[in-house]
Amino acid sequence: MKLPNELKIGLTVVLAGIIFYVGIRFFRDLPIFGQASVYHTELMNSSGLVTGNIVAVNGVGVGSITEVQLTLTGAYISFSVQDDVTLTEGTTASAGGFGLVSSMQLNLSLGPPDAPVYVPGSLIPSAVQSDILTDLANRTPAVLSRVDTVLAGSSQAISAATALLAGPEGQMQQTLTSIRNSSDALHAILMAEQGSLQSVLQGLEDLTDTAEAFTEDSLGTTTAKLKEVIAQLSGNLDVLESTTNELNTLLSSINQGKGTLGKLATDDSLYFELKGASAALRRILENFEEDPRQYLEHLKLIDFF
Amino acid sequence: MPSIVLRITQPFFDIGRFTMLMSSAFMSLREMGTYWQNFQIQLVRIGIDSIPIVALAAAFSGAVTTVQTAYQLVSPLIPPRIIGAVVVPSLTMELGAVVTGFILSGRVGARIAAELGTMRVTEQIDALEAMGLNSIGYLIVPRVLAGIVMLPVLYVAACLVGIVGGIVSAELTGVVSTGEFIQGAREHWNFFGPYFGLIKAFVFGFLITAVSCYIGYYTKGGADGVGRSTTRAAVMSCVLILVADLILAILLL
Repeated sequence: MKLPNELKIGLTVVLAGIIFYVGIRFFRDLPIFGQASVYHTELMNSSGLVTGNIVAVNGVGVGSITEVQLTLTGAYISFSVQDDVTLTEGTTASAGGFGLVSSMQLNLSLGPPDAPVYVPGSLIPSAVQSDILTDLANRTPAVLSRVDTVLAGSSQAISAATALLAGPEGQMQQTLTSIRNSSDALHAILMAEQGSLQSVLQGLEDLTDTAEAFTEDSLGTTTAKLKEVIAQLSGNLDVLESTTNELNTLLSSINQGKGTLGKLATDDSLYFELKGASAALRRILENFEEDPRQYLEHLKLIDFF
Repeated sequence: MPSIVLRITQPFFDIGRFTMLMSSAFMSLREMGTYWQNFQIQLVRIGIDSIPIVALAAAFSGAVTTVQTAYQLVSPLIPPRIIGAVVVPSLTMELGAVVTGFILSGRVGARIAAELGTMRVTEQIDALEAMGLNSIGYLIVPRVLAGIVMLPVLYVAACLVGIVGGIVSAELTGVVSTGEFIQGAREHWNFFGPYFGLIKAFVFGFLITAVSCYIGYYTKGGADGVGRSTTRAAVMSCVLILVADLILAILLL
């Protein structure tokens, strides 16, 4: 089928227009068919931001910069953000990116989710700006100053050391001479007292041998006795352990209410009955002491006697 | 006048005659309704018929640019996505328009010069004038307008195919993945780049067709003159594209 020229031309031009529009939206990281909201911010230093740079939230591209204008106080930046990204009050904008191998971008730090929402066209406040290069630039004078100070100190120290070593009558020379004299004196003393030193050392060696023999005998005896004591103690501990186990078993039986003691310990009624019986017995004894005949007249054995 | 003087003044003479020809063409725009059919034919010949060769050239341009960028730039200190950041702006700002312009210089410029030159040496243009037709309006205006309209369309096609060619070659050679390529292109996206390329395409479209029309329209001699005009049209178009490319870059960037 041969298409008419008008149709071919129309299709080609329209298709090219669509490709151009979609391509630009795609590479600007904007929704192809959706809308994007435009916001503004003002930075003291734009750090090289240009139109088309990415707007990122947590490192994710959500839009792009549409305009950068120079103002008296900094740079006024307009940027578009996808409609599904909500900017709430507390959101701040800052220029980010190192700029060496990656381009600059406008970073948005979102505010609390429950805060009021910024309407499109609002001015988003800027965060305190600080990037690596600026930090380096700010710190460089101080670092250079310190380096200068250290270098100056090092230079002084090296100069002093050089002077000390180079001077024929300097302190270093005197010190070395003094050390050499002391060494000579010490050597003379050692040569003079060599005999005495040898006898002292021999005595010290004998003393060491005696102490060694004494230590070996005493330690052997003490160790054997200690072993016996430990063996006895171990036996006693075994007996104590078995006794403790039996006692535990007995106590657990009592706690469970087994046996008389157990019932006494666990059954309150028995306690109260026993208490009542004790009180009744005490009353009978008191009555018996007051009037024994009342009880003895019924005993026929007593009549016998 | 002595020949040396003629040689020196010839460029100015050509510029003046070219300006007058374009003025006449501009004045003929009010008769455009008369030449509408011819305009449509030129749109198809200059634009749509050129899409395959432009796409082929753009695809290889994108692929070669990608491979060479990877060869030259990628190192442990430079992330691979930089390839996308280099290739896409290169295509949108430079290669898309210039490659299309060069292709059309050879294909369209030479054809226009040959057509008009042949009509001139066979006195067909004189016949048109004798019949009372405006030869400039009939022959030149449709071609120049078609070039101005279709070059941007071809530029868009070249960019699309070039970027796809770059991505495909990157994937095939394994230098960078498609995701990284696009990420790099997005990070370093230049907002003005595509519009700059579009402006270039408009200018190149005008230059190629207008210069070729001028050279063909004023062809002298027989078949030899037509041959010289054809060659001259292609060469002059390419040279003017390069000059205009530099001037536009200085003026607009």
